[in-house]
Amino acid sequence: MTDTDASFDELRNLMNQAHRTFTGRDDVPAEIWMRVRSQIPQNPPTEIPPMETTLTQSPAYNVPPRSTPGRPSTISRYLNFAASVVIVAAIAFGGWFAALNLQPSRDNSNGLLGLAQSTPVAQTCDVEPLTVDQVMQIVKNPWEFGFSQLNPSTEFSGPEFTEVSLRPSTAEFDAATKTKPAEKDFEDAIAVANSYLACLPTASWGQVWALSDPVWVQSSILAHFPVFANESEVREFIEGRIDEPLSVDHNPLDDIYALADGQSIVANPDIGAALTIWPGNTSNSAMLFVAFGVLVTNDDGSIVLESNAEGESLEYQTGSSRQRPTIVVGQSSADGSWYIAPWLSSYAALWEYQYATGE
Amino acid sequence: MAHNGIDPSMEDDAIVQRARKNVDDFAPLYDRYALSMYRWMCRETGDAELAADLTAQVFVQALQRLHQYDPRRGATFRAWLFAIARNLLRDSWRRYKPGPLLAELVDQRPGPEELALHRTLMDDVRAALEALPERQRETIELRLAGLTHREIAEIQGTSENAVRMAQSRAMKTLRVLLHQGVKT
Repeated sequence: MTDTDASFDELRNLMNQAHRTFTGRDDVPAEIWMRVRSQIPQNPPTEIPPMETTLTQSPAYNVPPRSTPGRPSTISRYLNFAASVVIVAAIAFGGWFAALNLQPSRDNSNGLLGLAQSTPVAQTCDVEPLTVDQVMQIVKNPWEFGFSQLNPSTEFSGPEFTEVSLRPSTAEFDAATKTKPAEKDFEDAIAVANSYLACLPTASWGQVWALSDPVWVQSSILAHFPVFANESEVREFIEGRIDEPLSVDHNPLDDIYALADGQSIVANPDIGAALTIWPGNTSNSAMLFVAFGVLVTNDDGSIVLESNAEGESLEYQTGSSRQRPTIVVGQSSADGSWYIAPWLSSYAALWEYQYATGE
Repeated sequence: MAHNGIDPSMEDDAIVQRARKNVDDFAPLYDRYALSMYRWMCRETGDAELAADLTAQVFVQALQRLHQYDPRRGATFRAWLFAIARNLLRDSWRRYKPGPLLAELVDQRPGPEELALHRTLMDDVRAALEALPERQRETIELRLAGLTHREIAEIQGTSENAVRMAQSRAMKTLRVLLHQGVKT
């Protein structure tokens, strides 16, 4: 046994002892298996193929498979997926309308057309989508483009399909230095934030990836591969997804899909409601982030919801949703570009979850 | 837990074959890995209830996707299962706020005086793990969960040597940190 082995065994013993002290037990709570069993039908679906079947697609779930002619099972899966999207979208729309206590639209406006005249906004998604080759390049080495010091690991060694996970270090953000943004940073960042908001309802994954931090792009793609993924599998996955619209269940701000008729949403254009975040020497290190609240308005310019970067409601219409999206944009240390940090952009994600208020 | 007459020593893949036809035949695999999974989730979340929920979700996903497991791709069932857990944890970081460090919770609990030294050391171990680079930390966590270097290499998409090196570096760092006392 090596010294490292002995140290590791010692560490394992300590951790197991910590677990016993923490949970007061040395086994697994019985209710876990009961929870599992309650969610799985007694008899597995009969269409489950035998083990001998070759895995022909990524093991991801909720992933729209490619439409390959001559493969009825693929079409069937596609229809199932589409049906799921419709159901989820319907639920999201219903929840939004209920929260707002408003009637649904009849003219199917995308919610961005009736924006108040004085509010800056990208009204349509005109972002050039990434190509498959560009996405592949990002997957191979996102640090060439993105927040290169986001994860300071030095073990990444180039074009291999190795993901280093992003750990949304909300605690670090909470403790980070926050200041009023410089005007230039604010203007650059809010343009990206508004492009993102404008694109979310209709964008393809290729467009969303173009706006998002490349390290997140890599992470979100490779997360669909439980085991080592080879290049052809990853390429196939990207090809199958790049033109697909961002579905509701993949959208961190899914209620934005469901703005009522004439309503629009933009990043809060008040610089006083934004924050520059300097995470300092952390896993989110060395980068500059700008966080925004949102401004939701009716077509007459009246405010439905206004929030700040800390997810606090500055104003909201009676009966409106109290969800307070936070949009976080970071600047690439590689090329100075601004990218959305999707893992930090959510409903008051940076702060509200600090206090474990749940979803 | 009843195992439907399945020999508990049966290989994972053989149990998977049976579980595809009868979900209850999955029980031996659950028994085999649930504790290490639950411990891992407790370490990651610092929240016993959340850890139980995530552990359940891992096994639900595994059962739902059991037909996708293919041993010929080189991954063992255990590596496949913990890869699911790893992905689930990553997804969950966006939705859940990690709780206080396990050791902090331990520290808050009144306990026998003779355990005080252990608690202090566990505080340091826990904080030292947090201080590791992500890859090294994950390597240690997966090793603590019982995975082999090869299995971790499969999950991380790297080589066994890289995993061994990450573990070695991590242990050296841990030794220094534990020796110095970790400041958090």
